Amino acid sequence: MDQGNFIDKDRKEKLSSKTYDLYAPLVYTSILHRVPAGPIANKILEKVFVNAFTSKNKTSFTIHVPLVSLMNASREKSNLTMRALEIFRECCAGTTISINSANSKKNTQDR
Amino acid sequence: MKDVLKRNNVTITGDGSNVMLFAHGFGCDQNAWKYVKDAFAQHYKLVLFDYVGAGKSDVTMYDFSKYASLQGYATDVIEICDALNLKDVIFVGHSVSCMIGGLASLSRPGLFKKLIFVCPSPCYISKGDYVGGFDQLTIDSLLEVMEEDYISWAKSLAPVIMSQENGKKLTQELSESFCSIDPIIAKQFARVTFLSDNRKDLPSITVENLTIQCADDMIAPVAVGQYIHENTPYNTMTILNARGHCPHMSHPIETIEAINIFLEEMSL
Repeated sequence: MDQGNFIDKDRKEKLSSKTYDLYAPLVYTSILHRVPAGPIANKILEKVFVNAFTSKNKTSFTIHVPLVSLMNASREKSNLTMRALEIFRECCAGTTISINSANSKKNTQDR
Repeated sequence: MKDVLKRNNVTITGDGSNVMLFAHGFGCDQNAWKYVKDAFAQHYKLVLFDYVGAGKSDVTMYDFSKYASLQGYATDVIEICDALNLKDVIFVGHSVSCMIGGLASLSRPGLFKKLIFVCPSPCYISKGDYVGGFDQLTIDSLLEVMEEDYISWAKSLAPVIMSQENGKKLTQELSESFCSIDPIIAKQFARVTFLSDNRKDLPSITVENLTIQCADDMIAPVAVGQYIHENTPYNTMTILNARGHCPHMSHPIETIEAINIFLEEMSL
């Protein structure tokens, strides 16, 4: 067995559904320090765990200290998400943006 | 002709033989100019429009191939001018529209008499010695967030962001402003906008042009305005003592004044 396979096996054993049950509340609390509770925070939590379970970048997730890695990932994802939304807001200077729903519906149907 | 005017929801107001063409930026539509346009209505014919996917444009005309680059939008600008038989146009663009106007001027020499860039950027990502304002990771994150319900998300954060920097009064004023975008098309527009790099086109611009730069702009920082000023022939640069990326909405009086000074100087 090469080292890569060994890491994958180790990872699968340590990242189970129990990982989510055990750490999600703590990670979510960390997210709420940067993001208001609601759909944005929920999506960040989901992405942090999905990335942890599926990421091929072994160096970004230290399997032996999953909580630290999850907290770091949640911090980075929260900051980037808020920054992205701030950029979007800046582009329109806080103007009230409406979704052109009639257009969107037609647009979707056309494709 | 009618197809083009309908496609881009072109509206024409004002008196005068000289024409000002106003082009909105990403995340806006022609309503973005509501605070400044009337100041020019007495002396100019004003032409405003929505890019396809914004405002009341005809979204059925959206073509993913055509609008995969800023050149597609530049083609629309030229087609609007042709449909109205415009010439010697004063082009006023905001943000990404500045480079769209620049590209249109290169594609059709002689069409524009002047180009006015409000918070322009030829490249939003820092590369080498060039300071664009963002790194690749931030832009990737922006595009990733736009895969979600980003408009609702941004709306939910708006009061926090605006009140921190601009105060309650300004927040209320801007809340009365209104823009409409198609979220699916806006995603591609964002990708085209934030991944564009038109630095190489700047030296080819031969029309007199003005850069209106805000002193504190997170989208297009002063270094970007300075880069444009140093690399674009016939460029005049004015730095407004303003925060934000949309001075035509947040600081309309200063923006109008900067445009007027440029137009008056050029006519001397």
